[in-house]
Amino acid sequence: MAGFDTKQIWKVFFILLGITLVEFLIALTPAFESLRNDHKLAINITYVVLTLFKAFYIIAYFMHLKFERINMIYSIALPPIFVIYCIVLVLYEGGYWNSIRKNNVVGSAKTEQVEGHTTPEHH
Amino acid sequence: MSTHTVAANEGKLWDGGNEPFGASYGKLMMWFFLLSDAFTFTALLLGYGALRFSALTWADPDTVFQSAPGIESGAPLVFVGIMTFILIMSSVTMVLAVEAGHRNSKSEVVKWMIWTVIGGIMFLSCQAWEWTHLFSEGASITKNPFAPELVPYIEKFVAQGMSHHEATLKAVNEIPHNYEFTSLFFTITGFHGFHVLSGVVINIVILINAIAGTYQRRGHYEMIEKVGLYWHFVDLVWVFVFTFFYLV
Repeated sequence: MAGFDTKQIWKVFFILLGITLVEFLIALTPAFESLRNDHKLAINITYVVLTLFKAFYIIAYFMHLKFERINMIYSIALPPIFVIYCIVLVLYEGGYWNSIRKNNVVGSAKTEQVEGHTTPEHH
Repeated sequence: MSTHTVAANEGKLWDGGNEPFGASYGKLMMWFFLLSDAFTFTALLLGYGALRFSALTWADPDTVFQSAPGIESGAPLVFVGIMTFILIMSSVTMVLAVEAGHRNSKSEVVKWMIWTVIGGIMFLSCQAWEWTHLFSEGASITKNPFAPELVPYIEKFVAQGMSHHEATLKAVNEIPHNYEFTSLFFTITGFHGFHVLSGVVINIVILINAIAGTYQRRGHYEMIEKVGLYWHFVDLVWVFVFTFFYLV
């Protein structure tokens, strides 16, 4: 059966291990300290991209999906793509909740100044 | 086996017995089960993402996860790194068992399945240690000693002459704080750990069957492949849990 030979399996293992080591390097090396503090979003996006790479290698090679028929690949792989879209939407919404919470904390002083205009700012 | 039924129904496309996906019924259903299970985990991670984005304060993972057996602090992510390595390794031994199954090599299947079971048990043991350690620090599903807003109170109690440990426990019990972090952590790693536990039990059942020669008599080792899919899925979920709880 295609795609199942021990050489390939160990290759994928070393890819997974390598990506994980890169993640640790980013998370722990003192050299990245300022980068981690100032560009938190960029670092987090890097983590997510590396994670998606790992997910691809596990699904494609370990779970052998890459070597299945094309109709099966699509019926398995397409739904999660819509799920990712949904996640992005919910995170965006979470950011909005955050702005409401911040407004509530900064709170009452502001409300007195601008009467009748207490609605939180829109994105 | 499935090829037999296909042959019997040849030419009659609508009479069943065909495999439009080129995969047996059992394997296909395992895939769709995993898809639905992925949605369950997605729901949990969605809730986590929304709450974390909306939270005003959040615990710093580098300070929460800085212990390992024998190391009280100052080793951030070391222990979870070991756990990740164990799980990836057991995924590799699983796929080696599947590969051996394709060659109908009973002894190799048994060997690699034993290693997979050992890997699963090691991972669960690590998680048990990690949870126990977090409990001892005062964390629980409704208590979060790592909440940044507790820090001034802990410092105040320490100034009153308490040890840091006592001060943390006092603060976490008496001061209202945001415990979304620990609540979500124990729920999601617990749900994942329960999957690992189920996986270990299923792997043991399959191992016993392999030793007993069930698959040898059946003529194929497809069962190893189906269970392997589940085991890789557990590894896959951990990859995401690792990123979103320990790194981000």
